[in-house]
Amino acid sequence: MADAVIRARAIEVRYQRGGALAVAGVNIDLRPGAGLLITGPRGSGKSSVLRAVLGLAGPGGDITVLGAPPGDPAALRRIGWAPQSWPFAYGLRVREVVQMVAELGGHGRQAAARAIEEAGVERPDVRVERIEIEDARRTSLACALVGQPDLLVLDDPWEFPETTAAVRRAIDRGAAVLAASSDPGGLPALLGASIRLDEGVPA
Amino acid sequence: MAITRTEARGISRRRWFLALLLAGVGVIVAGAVLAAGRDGLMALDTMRSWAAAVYLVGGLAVAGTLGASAVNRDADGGWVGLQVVTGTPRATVLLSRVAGRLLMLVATFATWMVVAAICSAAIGQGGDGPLFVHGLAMLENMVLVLVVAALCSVALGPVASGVVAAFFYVSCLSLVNLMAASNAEVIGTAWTGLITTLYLIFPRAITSPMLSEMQARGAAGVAGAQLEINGNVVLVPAASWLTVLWTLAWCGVIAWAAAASFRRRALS
Repeated sequence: MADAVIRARAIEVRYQRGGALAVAGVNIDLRPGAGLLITGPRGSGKSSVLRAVLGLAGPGGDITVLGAPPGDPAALRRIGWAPQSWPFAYGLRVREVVQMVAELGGHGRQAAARAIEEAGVERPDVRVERIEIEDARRTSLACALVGQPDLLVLDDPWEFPETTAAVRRAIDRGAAVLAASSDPGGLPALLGASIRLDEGVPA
Repeated sequence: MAITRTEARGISRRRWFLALLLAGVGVIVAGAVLAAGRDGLMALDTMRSWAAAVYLVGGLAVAGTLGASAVNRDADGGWVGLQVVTGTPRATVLLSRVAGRLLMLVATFATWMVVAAICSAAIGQGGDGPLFVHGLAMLENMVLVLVVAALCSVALGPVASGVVAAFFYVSCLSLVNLMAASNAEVIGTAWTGLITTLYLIFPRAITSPMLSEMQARGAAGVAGAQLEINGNVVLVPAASWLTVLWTLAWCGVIAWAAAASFRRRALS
């Protein structure tokens, strides 16, 4: 775990293939046991940086995540991802969402139950279309916490006590944490380092 | 398997899916009630044509909607990204999502076919094997619609994907009808070469023996209007086993194309 968890140079993300740049010139060095917060106003490209790191946004710059290129399946299995907003398919219960993430990551139902508890989800048997936004954010956090990943990536995490505790626990056990938020609250102090984006470039 | 199971479970609880499933059951039962008031061939034709209408119209609605939701909205909303970031290869994610939808399509047709068989038996027509075979033929047609819609959903929105898939099916059906007309020599010979070439290359809609026979008599209703060209009634023959296998192979190719095109799609 001595090597960089994320090493990225000149991250570039385009709105569509060959289109205008959404993000340019972002460099990241994130080591085990460290945190990094990406801040900036809405639409400044924070989520795009996270997507580039996870390999969801297509090729964009010189990026290595856990020793592999973005999107490498073996590296992704070591990442806990909490997407923003309401990223769940309707019809499913909260518990089923987290269990699917656990099963796909090679973890059991106990890991899912533990993650649900750590994220403070109070009604895991309610269907996702019937939960409040607060529960949606907690469900997203639970998905990231499954299986104690080596890298936590949190997009627009709400600052629940459970979020703070989970980030602290991750850093204490040597995992790295990358988060993006336009309303960071106490996250800068918790994560230590930060990058501010303005219209897709470091401010 | 986790993605397939989760997708199928989620869809099985969606209101639109349950509404279409139950609407199909309702129409089949209504057809049976109507058929019960008729005698002999009229009763049989009524039962079969109503069930066949459900397999076609309801099947298109279910298959189109299932396939059209395979990627786009879930990819933009973050659900597909959540599945991909678990380390599951992208092709596996896409094929598993399609498999979950295929499972629900099969469940839908199984329900309708069982209800149709029960209704047929209730009105004294027995289990009606030909109608059962027609159900299987339409299921294969709708698998084609679903995979085409899924392929389109990698790049297009859900409505556009569903519409394109429906048009694709109509084109496959037209090709079969044109081939039948060409074989019956009721259209100009100048077109024969082109029609034969297209027929040999593209997927073909599957016509069941039951529909072929009812269509020729003009008794198939919504499911298959009598094909008449220049005043000549054209018999659209039942699909051969080769056609059944050919279209199945095309379904596999289209599903593979969907998985291949999904590999580079940007996700939220």
